[in-house]
Amino acid sequence: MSNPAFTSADLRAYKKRSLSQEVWRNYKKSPSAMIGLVIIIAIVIAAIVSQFVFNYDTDIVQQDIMNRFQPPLTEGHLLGTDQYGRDELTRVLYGAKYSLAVGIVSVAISCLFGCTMGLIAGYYGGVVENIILRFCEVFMGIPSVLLGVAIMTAFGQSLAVLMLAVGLVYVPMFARTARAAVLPVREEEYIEAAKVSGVGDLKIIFSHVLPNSLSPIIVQVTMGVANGILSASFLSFLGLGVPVPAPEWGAMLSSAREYIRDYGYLCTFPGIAIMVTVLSFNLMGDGLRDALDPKLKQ
Amino acid sequence: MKSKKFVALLMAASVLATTAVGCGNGSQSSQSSPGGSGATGTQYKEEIIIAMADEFTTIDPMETTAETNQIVQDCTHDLLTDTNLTTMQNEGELLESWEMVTPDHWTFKLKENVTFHDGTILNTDDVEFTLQRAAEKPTAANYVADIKEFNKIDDLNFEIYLTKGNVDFNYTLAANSLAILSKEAFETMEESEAVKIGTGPWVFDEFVSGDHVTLTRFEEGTLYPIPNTKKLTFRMIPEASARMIALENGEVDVIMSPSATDYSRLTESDGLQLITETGRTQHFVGFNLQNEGFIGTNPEFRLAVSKAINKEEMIIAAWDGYAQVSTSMMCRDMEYYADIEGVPYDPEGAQEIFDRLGCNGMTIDLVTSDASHRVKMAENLQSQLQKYGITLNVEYMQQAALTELCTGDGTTSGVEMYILSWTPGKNADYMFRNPIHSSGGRNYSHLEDPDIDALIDAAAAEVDTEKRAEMYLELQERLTCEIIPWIPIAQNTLTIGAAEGVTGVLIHPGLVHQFKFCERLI
Amino acid sequence: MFRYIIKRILMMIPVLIAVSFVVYFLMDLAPGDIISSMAPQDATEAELEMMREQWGLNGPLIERYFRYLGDLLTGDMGMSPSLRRPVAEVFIERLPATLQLALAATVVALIISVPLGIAAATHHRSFLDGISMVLAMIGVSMPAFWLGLLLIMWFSPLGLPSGGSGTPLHLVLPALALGAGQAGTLTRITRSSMLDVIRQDYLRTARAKGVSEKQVIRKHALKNALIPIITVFGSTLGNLLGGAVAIETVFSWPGIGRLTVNAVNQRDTTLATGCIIMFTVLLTVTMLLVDIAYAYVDPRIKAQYSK
Repeated sequence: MSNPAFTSADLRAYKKRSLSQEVWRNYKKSPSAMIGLVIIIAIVIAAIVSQFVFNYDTDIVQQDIMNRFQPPLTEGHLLGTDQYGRDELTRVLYGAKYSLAVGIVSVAISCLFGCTMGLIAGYYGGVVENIILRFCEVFMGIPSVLLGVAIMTAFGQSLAVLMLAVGLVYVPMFARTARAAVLPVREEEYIEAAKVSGVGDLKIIFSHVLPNSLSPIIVQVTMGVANGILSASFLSFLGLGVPVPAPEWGAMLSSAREYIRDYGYLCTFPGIAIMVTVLSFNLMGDGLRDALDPKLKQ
Repeated sequence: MKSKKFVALLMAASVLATTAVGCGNGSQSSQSSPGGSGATGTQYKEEIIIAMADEFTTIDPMETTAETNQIVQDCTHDLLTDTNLTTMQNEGELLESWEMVTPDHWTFKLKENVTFHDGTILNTDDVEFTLQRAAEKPTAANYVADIKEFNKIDDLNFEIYLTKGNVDFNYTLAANSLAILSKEAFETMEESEAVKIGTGPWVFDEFVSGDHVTLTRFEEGTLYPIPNTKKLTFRMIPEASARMIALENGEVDVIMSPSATDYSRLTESDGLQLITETGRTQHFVGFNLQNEGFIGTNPEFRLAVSKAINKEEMIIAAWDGYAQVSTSMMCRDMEYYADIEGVPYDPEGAQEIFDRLGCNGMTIDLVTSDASHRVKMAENLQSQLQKYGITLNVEYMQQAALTELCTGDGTTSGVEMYILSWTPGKNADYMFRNPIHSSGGRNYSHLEDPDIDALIDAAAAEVDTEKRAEMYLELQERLTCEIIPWIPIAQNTLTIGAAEGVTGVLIHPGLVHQFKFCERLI
Repeated sequence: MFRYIIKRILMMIPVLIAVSFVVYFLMDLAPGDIISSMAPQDATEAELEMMREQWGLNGPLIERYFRYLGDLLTGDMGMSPSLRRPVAEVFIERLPATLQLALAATVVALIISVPLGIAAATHHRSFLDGISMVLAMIGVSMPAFWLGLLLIMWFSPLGLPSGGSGTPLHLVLPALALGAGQAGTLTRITRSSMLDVIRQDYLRTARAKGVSEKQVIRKHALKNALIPIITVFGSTLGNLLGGAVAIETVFSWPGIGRLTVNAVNQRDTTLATGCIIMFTVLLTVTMLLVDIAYAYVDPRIKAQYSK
């Protein structure tokens, strides 16, 4: 470190860059992870583009009763039309935004609250840790689906409540992951050193503890999006999620259900959409985990 | 060879798991065993299984207004008067005859020698006991609230004095909650047992919660001929498609409310039949007339919406076409129903008024319940009004919450439009008293029109049928075409699916279908 | 160990009280109530009040909740207005159906996942490995209720019952739908724990000694790989019960999952709270049993508890 031009800030920047590059190099090696990433990008593009190409009032709400139940591959309707004569493909594409939004925002909510709680619990330990763990226990004891149902029922059905409900349900999971990630770091010498030299707790948490326990949290976030989309689609299927006529995939399945014997295609496409989206996030999660921790990859 | 053993163990476990399910429930054998008391060699199926959509919860007639419970109670218990579902007339069931001396004084005579399931004979004391018990039960009390005095004349004759005149008191007695119970049974048995005792042709036998109720025929019954069927089982299958498949597979004989998508399958398949009848439920799109900021307080706007709605299209969307367009407020099979023209579909006329009122680009709130047909109606209405440039913002809520909101204070509830329905009794007064009269408990539109109130009251008290008809015609015309507190849309078709050979199933317009004479030839 | 179990059970009590509080208040926030849906179309306010009193639902929220909690602590879960029966009785009546479903689904999951996972591990990086991992991934990513719908679509025309219960046949489709998702998770776990074990030194030794590969897998690897499988299996039980809620709804299965969802829909606070509490008990007790079982399998953990 005798070179005066080479400051510690440069070193940090270099280390950071090299770390993310390293992860990306590892990530690229897995074909399945790359497939997941490509599909996710495609879905995101579809979700954004469909907002501009389609008009909600005329393409989503407007019915065409005389043209109901047109089978797939009918001219002008690649995936056919639904029970109100609306184009199924348009609805499936337009619906991508709901699942993505719920998945991402709900994870953001649970990550924010969960990680804060987990970091605090892990870093301070003692009574605080105990209280937070007990709190998590209460919420993890209730099956997440039922807790979601109760929250949706209490606060009414809308996209915002759905995000909140799904997000809250997964808070304890994040808290536990974050705490578990912090525990080994807590005992490290550099943390001790920082404490002794009088650095504030917040600063220690954000500049030392968090970066060093980030990997499991990142993986949990990716998987969390997948889980969030699954939970949200089930709540919508129960009629508790985004209200009709919004083409949320779970809600589409719910209303297509009574036509299952004669018009099974209506029950097929939204389900495929959910599965492919969830699958891609899972693939990406797997890839990230392997890339972040090469030792696990075998 | 450890892994093979392991797999074998798993297989054994799976067999165990599946057979365990089989044990818990009654088997459905006895499919073709001969039985019945058919005189001329005709044979009847011994057990008829009816698949219900909702859960049966109680046999006590005074504890419930749920149709599923009342359907079962209709088989086991009888009323003083009841609607004959073939002629749709109010007739005596346990009553031989009755007479209105004055509108507040009625005399009655019971049928002779009617036996209860416990062997006792029906007499005036049982009626008095029943009416007294009803007064203490929240779900039944309002039917007997007007009774001032009950006088026993002898074992079969009694008279009732009312606090206020009611020319239709015989209809009140047809309320399912007033099924006659045995006084002696209540004196000798536990209450939970005594409520099972009725005079109907079926005896309550077994009840497994969430699964089925079984009735056996009343062998010593005197009021009805002994049924040809030995056992009547009501099985709960909530999903419509599952009920349909059970019918096709021969697991059940009758299914309640099949899905509209299965109607063609029921009418066209061999060995199946579809029983249909127009229901007496008026489905409507309504307005809150007390919400000051709402454009719907302007009768012109209400007329425009009335013209704007293509009811036929909505019927296809909501009931796959199985409903009748309503042109009048009143339900079709009611007394004094007049076949008025109403407000016909007129998109140009509607657009003209909307333009004049400057409705283009307007957003209106609508509330309705999460019941499937209401959701479909709302979705379709959204689509229809969109064509006129009006955006409908729909909120779905649970039925009870919706009722509470729409009957609450109209000035503060914030409700603008709503989709609801009303199922009146057969008597014309039921159509207007509750949902239209300013004192009515279900006055969702918060209409407060002294003229209309006076007309409803006058019509109810009028003894001359011709004058009464005129009054009800005026009510229908004014409400449907001029005041429009709500827009009548349709009366949906009620359906029951059955296997071939099933007879004696009667559809009740108020959903309490009749199964007590149900039998199946084999 | 015994003290540990007692401690865990005692710790459940405050958790359950908290759960009852959360659910009871959430239910009260929900618009609508059970009494007005049970009352006749034209009931008066006085009649409604009479009915509320009859079902113990009168008075302000706090008072109602503490009355409920008081009864709960003495072991009385109250009466359900919508079903008109004691909550505990209904729950116990419906519980076996859910347990049957969960058991059958587990059997399905094990039959699929254990052979597939082992095959994938022993043929590491082969085509078979790839295929089974893709299948497992699809199983994990597929919404259980949608798989249920697909199974109804494909198999009910063949005569397999698509709803209700009664015969063993009724169990087939729900068990498959619920088992498939579990199979996905378990296949992945089986594969990775088998891979870990296969690389262990004692297996290398066995191989070096000339024991055939098949023998190695059967005699040594499988047994050791089972331990992590059992643990993961325990922790997926929560998923299994949660999944049961979805499957019971799709297949009209008369279990506790559907009972609870219906109770919430009907705003039957007493029944909903009771059911969710019992669900929590079920989940917590199962977790405890898994922990205990695990401790017996793995002595290192047992030693930890006795500290």
